[in-house]
Amino acid sequence: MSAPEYPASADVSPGQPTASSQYNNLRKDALTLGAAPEDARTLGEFFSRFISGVRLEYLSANRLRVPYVTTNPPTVMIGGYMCQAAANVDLPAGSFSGTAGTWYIFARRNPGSPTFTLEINTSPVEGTDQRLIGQCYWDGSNVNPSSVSTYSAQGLGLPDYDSGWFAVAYNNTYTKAHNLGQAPRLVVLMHATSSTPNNNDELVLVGTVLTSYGVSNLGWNATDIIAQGGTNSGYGTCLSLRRYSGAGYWRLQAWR
Amino acid sequence: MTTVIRDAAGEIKTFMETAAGLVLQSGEYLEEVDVPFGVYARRLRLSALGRYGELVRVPAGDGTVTVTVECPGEASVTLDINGLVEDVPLADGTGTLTLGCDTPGTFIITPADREKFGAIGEAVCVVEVVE
Repeated sequence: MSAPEYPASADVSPGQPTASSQYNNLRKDALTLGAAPEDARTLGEFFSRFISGVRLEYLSANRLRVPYVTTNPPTVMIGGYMCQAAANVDLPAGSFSGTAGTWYIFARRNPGSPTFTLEINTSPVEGTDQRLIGQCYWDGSNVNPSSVSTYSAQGLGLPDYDSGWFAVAYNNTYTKAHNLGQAPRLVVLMHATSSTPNNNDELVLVGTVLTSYGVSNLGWNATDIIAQGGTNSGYGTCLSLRRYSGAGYWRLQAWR
Repeated sequence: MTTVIRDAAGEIKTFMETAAGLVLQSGEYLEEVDVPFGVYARRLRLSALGRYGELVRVPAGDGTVTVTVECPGEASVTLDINGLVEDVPLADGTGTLTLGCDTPGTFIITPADREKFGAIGEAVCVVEVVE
């Protein structure tokens, strides 16, 4: 198929009557960049989920911020409206409350304003004038800063598989079905000494465990991730300059 | 809710905060416990020098190392120390165990009753006495 004729419309001269075909070509240029309607989405449809420059950050005292960057201003289409921030966008203090759980973060369009504001809800369902942009975890008292995630942000997003923490001991093999439908491109195995590590607890990347000597202990295929403990009681689950362990907790994360 | 996997002998192999991707090996079976993961993990904790879930290395000498045993709600707990079984009395769920460090070697302390407490997580204490 050849490229659409674009622009399909042409200049008109002063005094020249505007024919319906000229109007229709102009409309086609505006809606589908000259393509036939059956061959292309309209620009409005195409950009209905557009988002750029929006990256959520933790802000002290349980707030969140979308920082304003001059060269890449936070820009988001909300309900068909092109919204762009002109300054940092902050979630108001005191927005979080109640029991522990995941909170979802929305950009909200406000009639009469070309910018947007932030608001949160425990439901991920978008309401009128809302656009779901991320999530974070509220432990009942505080937002976990490392849990703040922006769906559209470039860089490492949330893992496609997360085992959660599980208790381990040396000389055991742990198999997890990742359900990615393909072999993961990246798998990470972490070790913690607490079942519920907090933000200040050090997590150690596990790549090696000890049998008679240090060996790699992680493998995966299109179905499973297999993490195997070494036979040594003191170094069988973590052999690192940061920590030695033959027990503790592992957590597997994988990205497709 | 905590998901527990037991081996064919009924001993706890692991427990986890989610069942995501759970795969059972031959003979293993599943148990769902209506207790939060963190609470279940703290049913038995062993620590040396204030450290849980990791190897503790100490130099050989005349000193001792105290292992703290935390087992809320229990009057005593039976531990396996390098194959020797010892009953540790607890007061308010806490007790201690003293290890002599005069000669190099490794102490491996685990729960003796592994159907009740798995030898995993923070319920394992390994103290290595080094030259």
